[in-house]
Amino acid sequence: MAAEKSSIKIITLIAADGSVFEVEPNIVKEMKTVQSYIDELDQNTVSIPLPNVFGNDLAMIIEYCKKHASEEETKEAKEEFDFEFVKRMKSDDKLRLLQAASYLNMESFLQFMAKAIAAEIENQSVEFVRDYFQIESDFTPEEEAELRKENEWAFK
Amino acid sequence: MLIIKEVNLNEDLDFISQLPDNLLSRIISFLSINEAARTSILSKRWIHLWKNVFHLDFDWANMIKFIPKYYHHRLCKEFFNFIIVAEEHAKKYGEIVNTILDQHVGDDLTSCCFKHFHRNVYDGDFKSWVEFIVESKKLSFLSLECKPPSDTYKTLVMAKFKPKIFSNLCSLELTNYELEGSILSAFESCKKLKILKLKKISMVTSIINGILENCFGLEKFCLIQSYGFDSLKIENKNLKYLELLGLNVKEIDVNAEELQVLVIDSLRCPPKGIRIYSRNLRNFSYACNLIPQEIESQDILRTRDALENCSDLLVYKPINIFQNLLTLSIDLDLNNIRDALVFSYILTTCFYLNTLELTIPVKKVSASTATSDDCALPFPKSMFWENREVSGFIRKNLKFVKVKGFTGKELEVSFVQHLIKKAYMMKKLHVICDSTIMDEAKDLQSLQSASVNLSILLESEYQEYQEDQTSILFMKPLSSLI
Repeated sequence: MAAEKSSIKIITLIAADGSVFEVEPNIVKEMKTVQSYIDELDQNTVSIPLPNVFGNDLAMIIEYCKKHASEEETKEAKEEFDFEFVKRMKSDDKLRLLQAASYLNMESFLQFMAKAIAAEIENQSVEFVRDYFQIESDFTPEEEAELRKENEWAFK
Repeated sequence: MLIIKEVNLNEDLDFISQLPDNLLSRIISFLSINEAARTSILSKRWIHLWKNVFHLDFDWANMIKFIPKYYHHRLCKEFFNFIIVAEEHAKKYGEIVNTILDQHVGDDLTSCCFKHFHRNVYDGDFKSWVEFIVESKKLSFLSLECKPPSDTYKTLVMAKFKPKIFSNLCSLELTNYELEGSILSAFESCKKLKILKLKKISMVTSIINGILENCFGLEKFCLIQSYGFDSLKIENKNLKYLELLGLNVKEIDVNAEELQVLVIDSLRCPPKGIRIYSRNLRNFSYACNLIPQEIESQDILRTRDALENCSDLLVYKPINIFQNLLTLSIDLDLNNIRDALVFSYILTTCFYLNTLELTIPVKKVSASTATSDDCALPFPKSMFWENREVSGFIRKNLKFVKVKGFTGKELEVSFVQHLIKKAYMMKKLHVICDSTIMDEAKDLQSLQSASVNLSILLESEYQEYQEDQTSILFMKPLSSLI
């Protein structure tokens, strides 16, 4: 059966909104959640539902995987792609992709998104970051002052 | 500036506030240490998130407030006080590190950087930090950097570690230390170590070679501006990437079959002292960027010498490291006939080369030295490249060429013309030159090219006044002309 397993040509991924993506096996290698599902099956064709990932997000993730799995692309070309990839996203896109990466168990993509999000909140005001993560402060002014004092060195 | 609230109203955005803690801690891991600490005041949920990060970067510059300038000046006059301030900084740094390490939750701290003061080493704090994170956390990346020597502390600090302390690490970086005999026991049984970077380290020959012997699993090794040794033996079987920058040695032996990338910059070494045996090299880079151009030291191993001694051009060399090369990136004076001769030989031995990057060094205008290296040719200089048989492999495989510092002199022009006329697979030719010779460079674009897909990119460089500013003037695909 092992020989047949390796003969899988196309993997069908079905996103939460029902949109369907057909990809080659090497594209999903990085998606550990999908890969372990494939490894358990003894079938020639595989169709995998991903109820936690939206079609738009999945399309972006596949685009990223395709670029990075390509052996023809130079390191510089990949870096340039990453730069543009992040540039065209809104902040909530990044947070959604971070969650999708976590669900799909994609370690390097997860790091990539976490880094991109960190770059957005680096050197921003407390209000900006609260807004970014939609946080309502539940501190009394005294409590906040106490915390600021605790790590005084971090607040100029 | 980002407008956060600009989103589809019909889309449910509640997920943002419901992101799990581990993902938020992961984001915080990429922040500098002070930014990370500041997230504690966002809300009650966030108080402890930053204590669960997988990466901590203890950079004193982000932890210690600088004393105002006027205060600094006043203190400089009194050296004694100056030391006291430095001691206070070190003490404060130590306190903060201790508190944060103490508060860190769980053992998932996989990566840690320290940029510390000399004093932290003398106090013993430094040693206990390293032991703590290595022994009670799942650390695999460690970077240690002492503040460079200054007026207060004029020498490098001696770093001492417990035996086998690095045995679980996968990556280690050390900067600004002196290492002595006992360090070898710290490097014992570190078979997991894949990446080692030593920068500005003072150590004797037996130390550096002993470390390399202990780290037999090493895949990437960088040795930068370190000194005290005169012989290097690199025989790590798994080594794939090697970087040697700003070294001054008598001999270097590299015997690494798996080596793929070799980067050398500003090396002082006698030509015959360099012995490299690596058949599988894919990427070779050789430059002299670290040494200011005014210092024309005799000892610097020139690119030509390196090319000669790493190939089979000289009879006593059995191995040519260029035969499997994909990328060649070198500083080379194309106008010097001897340099050009060696280079043309190397090109005939590069069977797979697809990327070539040449930097023509800026020459000081010195009247007398101009011809000393030249040898007479039986034909005009401009014919040089036409008379060389550029190998079929270059014509077939070369795709990307970049020439930096192009000055429009005969030999350079003839080389570039030659490539345009012969390399029929070339996709991109990028010429960076001084703005004053732009017109000569433009002539290149009018040549009939062998490749149908070639685009020639000319870029002018204002070297003297705006060093970093380059402007792309125009880009024209030549295919339209054919």
